[in-house]
Amino acid sequence: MNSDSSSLKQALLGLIPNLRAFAVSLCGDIERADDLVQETLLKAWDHLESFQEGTNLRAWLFTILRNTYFSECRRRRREVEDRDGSKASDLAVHPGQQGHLDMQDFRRALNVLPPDQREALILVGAAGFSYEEAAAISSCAVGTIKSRVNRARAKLTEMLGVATPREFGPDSATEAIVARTVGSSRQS
Amino acid sequence: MAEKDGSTHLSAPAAAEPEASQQEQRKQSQQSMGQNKPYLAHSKDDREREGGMDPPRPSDLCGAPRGMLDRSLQAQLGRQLRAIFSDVAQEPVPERFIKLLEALEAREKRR
Repeated sequence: MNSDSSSLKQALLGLIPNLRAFAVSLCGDIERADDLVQETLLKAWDHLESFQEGTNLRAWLFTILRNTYFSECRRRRREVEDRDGSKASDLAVHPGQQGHLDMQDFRRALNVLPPDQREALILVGAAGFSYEEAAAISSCAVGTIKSRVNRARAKLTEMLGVATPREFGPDSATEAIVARTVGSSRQS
Repeated sequence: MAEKDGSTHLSAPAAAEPEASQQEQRKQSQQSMGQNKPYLAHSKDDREREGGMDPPRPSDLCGAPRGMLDRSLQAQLGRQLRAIFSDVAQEPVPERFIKLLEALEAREKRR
């Protein structure tokens, strides 16, 4: 048992950076993230017998962490009614300077996404899980993960899209207006 | 909690996925390890949140070619998402977790 617990310790240690990254992206707050990681480690240690040798320890830990997070969210939601509603009103991410999509904007936009969409996007887009693995972690159908990821991307694009006119050269709408104005002033 | 019924009432995954049986096995093993573990179970409202979302609305901006705009934005979103993740993933393990695991291991040895 001793060698077991020592190798488990090593394995968990190696996965902590990943767990923290997942937790921070999920809840947007490093302190809360570390509490989630701590709870995850304790649960994993105490319920090791439910982990199946040969399966993915990282996926198993992610599963515990996200379940801890979501049940906490549900508890909080019961305590604080309609936090999301008020959040949605500051949803508009106003890009301070034109053409610059900075990290702050992105973090804020990510935090505004519905948690299940944020989770799917992080699992697939950042943590490197396949759709199938992400579905197993979130305990839903593969199709559900795909549609969550798509909705998350669409929403982020919508929130942040206006911030990147530079991506495709000068603002073409502005150009059109300028062209029209110039054109009509020539005619008169 | 309802864990074993899986999520078949949700939109079904594409039927003809390759390795479907393997995935199924994997999914089953994932699910079976959640049995008797309330914290691994998913509540009903977890699933109910599936419905009722707005369909994705493509950003309609500036008349730029949609595909180009979306692709470059998607690439940028992907980069930033990975950056947020890897920023933290590259940090060293905080002391509190090293101590926690040492304490857990010590407790194990005393048993």
